[in-house]
Amino acid sequence: MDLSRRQFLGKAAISAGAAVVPLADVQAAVNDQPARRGGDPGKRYGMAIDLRRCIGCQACTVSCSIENQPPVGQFRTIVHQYEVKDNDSEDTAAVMLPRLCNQCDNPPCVPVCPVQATWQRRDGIVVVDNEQCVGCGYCVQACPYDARFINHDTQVADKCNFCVHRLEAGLLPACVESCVGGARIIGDLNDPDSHINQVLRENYDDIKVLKPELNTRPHVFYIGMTDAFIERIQGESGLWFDSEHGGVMGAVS
Amino acid sequence: MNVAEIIVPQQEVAWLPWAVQYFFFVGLAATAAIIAGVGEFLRGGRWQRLQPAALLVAVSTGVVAPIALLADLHQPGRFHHFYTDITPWSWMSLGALILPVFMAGLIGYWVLWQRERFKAQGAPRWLALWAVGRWSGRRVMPWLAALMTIGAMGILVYTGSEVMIVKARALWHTEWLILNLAMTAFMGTLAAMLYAQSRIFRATAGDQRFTLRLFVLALLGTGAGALGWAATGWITDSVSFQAFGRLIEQFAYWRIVFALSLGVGIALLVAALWMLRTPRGVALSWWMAPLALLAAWSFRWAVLMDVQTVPKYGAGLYPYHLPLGSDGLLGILGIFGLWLAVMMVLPGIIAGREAANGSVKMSEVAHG
Repeated sequence: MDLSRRQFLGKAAISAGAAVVPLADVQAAVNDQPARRGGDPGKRYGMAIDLRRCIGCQACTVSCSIENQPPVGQFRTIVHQYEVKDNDSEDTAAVMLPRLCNQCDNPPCVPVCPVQATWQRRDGIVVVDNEQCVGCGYCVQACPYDARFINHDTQVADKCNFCVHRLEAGLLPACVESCVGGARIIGDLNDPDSHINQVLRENYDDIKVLKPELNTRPHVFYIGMTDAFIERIQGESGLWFDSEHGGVMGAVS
Repeated sequence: MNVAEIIVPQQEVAWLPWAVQYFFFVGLAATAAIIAGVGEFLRGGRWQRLQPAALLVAVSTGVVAPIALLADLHQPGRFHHFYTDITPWSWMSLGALILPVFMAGLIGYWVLWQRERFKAQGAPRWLALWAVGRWSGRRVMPWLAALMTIGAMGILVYTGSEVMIVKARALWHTEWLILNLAMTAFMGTLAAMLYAQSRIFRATAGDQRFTLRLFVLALLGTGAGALGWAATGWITDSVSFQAFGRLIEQFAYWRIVFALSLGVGIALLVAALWMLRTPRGVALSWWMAPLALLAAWSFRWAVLMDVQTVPKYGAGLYPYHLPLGSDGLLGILGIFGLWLAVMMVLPGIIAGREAANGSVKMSEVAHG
């Protein structure tokens, strides 16, 4: 059994018990997690992404950009695309990997913030106050998932927040709403009957998170991901980057 | 299985070249302040005679460093949030508290030290107010020196720690980084002091020789830090050492960085040891200053900028093109220019009559 699955076992136990233990009674030694604030303490949002259902259409990328208006070329979520070739059979396949903030249970981006402009809500969502942020970039460095960036318009840290404004209005996040294959499932992990918990239970043996060894305890769970994508990509990098288009490889013809 | 990236975004650097400038100048300021602090507590000897050169380096770099730090914020106008929302669990927030303490100690100590000198030697007319009055700051000076020295140690600890704590960047995630940043800063400071002693203060050969010996110690310390990182990394299989090994294996750029670091370090050590052997060598040792300062600066560039071009998840390296504007070249040149401007005035103040009259040796001044 691989590490990520073992990690998920712990997670599953928590979900089954219907009580996510917040990093309880945190005290503030240097780089310790500060207390969570705001949000519904009864909930713990998480997302399952079924890679078998993702076709790489980038509808999530586009709808997120329309909803959250990051500058052109900067993304709160984007679908990474890879070509995977089997060395023996020479078969090739396209792999789609939607990426977004993992809303970690032990988010390394939070304790580094020198001005408390970013914090974790009690429902698990990590948010940024863009009027408090000084744009020091420390959280961008600390995130192992490249989920954060310095927004070129606001000059402060920006990231996916599960469209918390939509969740609170009873709507789905833009990316979930627009996903044509139904690959993205968001829900309350504290609710044993929630759709996400059903999906996670059904795919119990096929759930992985990114970089589990960092002990960040991500709450974006991938279903159907090969082990080659858990850690750093070992392979060919994109041949070129295009800085005029936000440095996204393949973004222009 | 062979994986090729088709669509992946490039992550921009979040810390700009301003950060390199800050780490460079504040490192010099802190290490020079420690040397000046020792001079205060070991008065009447050669450590005290290092003070003019040490304070020149400490004050000139110390006033420049915070400006580079401010500029590295993407929202510099909000810097007061560091003080309205003090965050004891963040190294950077602790740094925001340590920096003003250090600056207060440094500037406070220097002002009184300078006053003492002006009173003994006479102040130039335009600075006559500096020495006015009968009061002496001597009784406060040890306290200010203590504040300066402890603050300087705080600077060295916090700057190293705030980088070291970032687990997401494997190369940074080693305690040795704190030592390596400090040791290369000592190397740069002592090289700058060699220059100042020789070209500005006309210090005695004996005093220059003492500085050169300290410079050799700093080089050995730098080497020991690098060896310690490599040896412990090899034995314990540390993430930092593993990441470095992978970069060396995969990328010619990192092999060049490694070869240059090794080459320059050994060249400086051999040159310094050779110069120590003869008085003529000691007299020429200030020539090493530009190379040693460049080495200290380049180490910070490699650590802070080059490491940001290593993808945390993706393959390969992100390309980084130095922008020409204030986020890049202009920022770098601007901070060096500011330091140059300070250096056009400060040596004249600190050296006083020494600079005007080359026959006055620093040792004679120090002994009254």
